[in-house]
Amino acid sequence: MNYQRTPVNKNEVIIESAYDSFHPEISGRYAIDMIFSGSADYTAANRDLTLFSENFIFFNQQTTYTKRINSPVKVRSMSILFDPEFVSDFDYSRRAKDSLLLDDPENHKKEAPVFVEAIYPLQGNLKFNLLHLKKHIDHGNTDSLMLSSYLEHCLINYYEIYHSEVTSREASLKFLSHTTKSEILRRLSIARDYIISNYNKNICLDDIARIACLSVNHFLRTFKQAYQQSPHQFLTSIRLQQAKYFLRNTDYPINEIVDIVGFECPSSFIRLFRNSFQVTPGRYR
Amino acid sequence: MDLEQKYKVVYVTDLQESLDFFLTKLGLKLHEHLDIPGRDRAAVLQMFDGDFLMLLQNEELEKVPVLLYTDDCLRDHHRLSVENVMGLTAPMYSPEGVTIAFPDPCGNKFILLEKRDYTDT
Repeated sequence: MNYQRTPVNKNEVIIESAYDSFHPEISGRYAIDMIFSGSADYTAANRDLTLFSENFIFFNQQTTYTKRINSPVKVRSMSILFDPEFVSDFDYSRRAKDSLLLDDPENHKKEAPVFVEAIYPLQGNLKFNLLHLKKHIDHGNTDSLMLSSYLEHCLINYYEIYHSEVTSREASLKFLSHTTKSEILRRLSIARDYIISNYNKNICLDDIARIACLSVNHFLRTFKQAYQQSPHQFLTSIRLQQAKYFLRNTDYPINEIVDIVGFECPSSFIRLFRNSFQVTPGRYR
Repeated sequence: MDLEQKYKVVYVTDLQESLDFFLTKLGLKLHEHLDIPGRDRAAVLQMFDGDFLMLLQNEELEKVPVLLYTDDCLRDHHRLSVENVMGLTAPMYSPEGVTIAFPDPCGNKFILLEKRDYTDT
């Protein structure tokens, strides 16, 4: 096991490579965790989640969670632990008007932002900036000022993803009450995390709806409102994205990838892949 | 010889001052000094992507901002911030990638772009 902690002022970046590891009761800081290869299991608030590559998970400072790696392949992961004050300060500087920032610069100490905890797609600028950050740490760079600017940009990128994945999806729900919208999206988010965590297994709609504490019909209707696709289409897109990852990063035969990502037969996988990305899996590889 | 490498020529009014700026503040590497017949000396710097930046002594500056490419815009922004480069802008995200803008000591305007391919991320 290789476990490297890099303090960045009061924040911390942890890079780990392991087949087997267990980190119980992590809390006290906001966290962005991502996986570069393999998968890791998390337990938070009685929810079991599995994080695969191409995704990241976010935890609030008050959440206590455990992380477990138990894998036949080496799992490479990175955790960014943000000091609550760093996040509060960042949040306040984005929300408050310039005049207020000048008059009351310490206001951020009064409240810490709370986000919807979920698994999000690791994409766009967040992915690029995290990879740059990892490269600098791998090269032994300990310049706190520079690493800190990467962390600040990670928060900028996270806020953009949060806006598109939570705030605007919440707004697209057809309910009058803001509280209802928030609660529905929170439950849909739990369902979505369940689908992502179990994308390679046989999961049924009844189970997903039950986990979201919604009736099947209500779940189907609101899921489509929020994510503009059915749960089944979402599951298929996750499987195809993971297949892309395996095609890009491994030399597994296509038949094996079909099996790993949970498709039933290679021909339907090839058809879906070609329809989605306008290229066959073989040519994509 | 890599025929894919490109030269970008930039006019500067003070070669030595510009050279110091690009070497010490931005962190480019000196590739060679050149003597061009009928002109003052020129310097060739290697950029982050392997292409070359030729600084050529001239009485006039560039009329439009010069676009340079980098592999890590946030790193370069940090370097220039630490050196207190006046006129340095904050990193800006665009569909092409992330950019910063800064002037060189002669007054040329530079845009540094880290191209990012978002199609598969």
